[in-house]
Amino acid sequence: MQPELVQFLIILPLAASAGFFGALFGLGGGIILIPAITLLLGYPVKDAVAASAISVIATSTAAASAYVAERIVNVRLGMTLELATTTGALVGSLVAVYIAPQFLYFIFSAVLVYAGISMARGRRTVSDETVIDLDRAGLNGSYTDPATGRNVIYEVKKLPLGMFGSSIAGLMSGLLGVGGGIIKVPVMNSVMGVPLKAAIATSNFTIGVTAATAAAVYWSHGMIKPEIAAPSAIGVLIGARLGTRVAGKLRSKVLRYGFVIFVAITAVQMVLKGLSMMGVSLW
Amino acid sequence: MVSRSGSGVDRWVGAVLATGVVLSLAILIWGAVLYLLNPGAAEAPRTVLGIFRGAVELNSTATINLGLLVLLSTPVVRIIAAGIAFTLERSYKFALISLGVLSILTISIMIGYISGRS
Repeated sequence: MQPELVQFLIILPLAASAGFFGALFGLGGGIILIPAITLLLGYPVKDAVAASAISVIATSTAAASAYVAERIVNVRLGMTLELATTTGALVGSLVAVYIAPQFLYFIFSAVLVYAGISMARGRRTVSDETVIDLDRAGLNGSYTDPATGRNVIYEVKKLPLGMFGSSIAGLMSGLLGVGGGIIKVPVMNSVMGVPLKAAIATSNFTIGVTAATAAAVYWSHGMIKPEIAAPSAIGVLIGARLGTRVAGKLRSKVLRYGFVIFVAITAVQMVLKGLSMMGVSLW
Repeated sequence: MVSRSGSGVDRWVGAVLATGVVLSLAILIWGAVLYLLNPGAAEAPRTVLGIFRGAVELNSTATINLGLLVLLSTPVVRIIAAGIAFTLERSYKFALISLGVLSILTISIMIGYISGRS
């Protein structure tokens, strides 16, 4: 087989699994794809990061198109939070050059540990019998959970705090190129009281916008390699679509613990990255 | 009113996203097939005009870049679609929010583009 085909056949299933888990948990899937492309195929990190930005858009688009059709995405909430994330990402990308990144990795992993614990503890969300009579922000939502067939109505709480958390998520994206969905899902779920499935779907909906900025920058720098980006995008688009099928059928509890595992993996990755930037190598 | 259905916005946004998925996937698969049939193709064009010209000439990397361009534009187009849909249903606050997101995104992309040039 020719080497180009071999490379395609390696990237496709990896990208498909990144898209699958990304759609399942409201993430971009970069934590799967970036190590896979750098460690397995030996590409430099910057090529992998550029391909990852494309993959986040692919996950977001494919997952959100299914979740919007199922009415699980809270479009109004998503757009409102995008105001905070895009501003945070803009500020982050502007100040990134002035800040020593190794400390940011440690701060970010500390934020993740906190987010992971709050997600693991879970919280009682407003259930269907609660009548919500006040919706001044116009953000409250409802959806039918495909796993239980129940209609879930929820109230969006603590909007200012949620906006603050989202701007931090955006700031981290701008500074480190990571941290979109993995912060947004806990912010929506633990802080704002949005049920997990709606938080995941809405996160998937919003992450594409932040990633579009990054991808445009990589594009203008000529960093997007077609031979990596094509199989990544194709795999992710298909995998994410499959992920939305499975996500609907899973119980929220399963999604919650799966999400916490992803948070833990990311936190460890961030610590290792910070250590390696300080010259400490573990292997 | 307990839940605002926002059906118009959902429909507009959903249509843009679904179109983006199908169109980019089809072009990317086509480009990937061209690339695998004739690997090591010429330098990929990155300007919009160059991409279109290359794709028409069955240049594999130009075709892949066209698919990526469609994918990259989808989140931007869906913000515009949401803004229009919110305006049509007179949710002016959310139309304004959409415009705000679009503005910040445009500024970010322009700054990134300029820094990429220098």
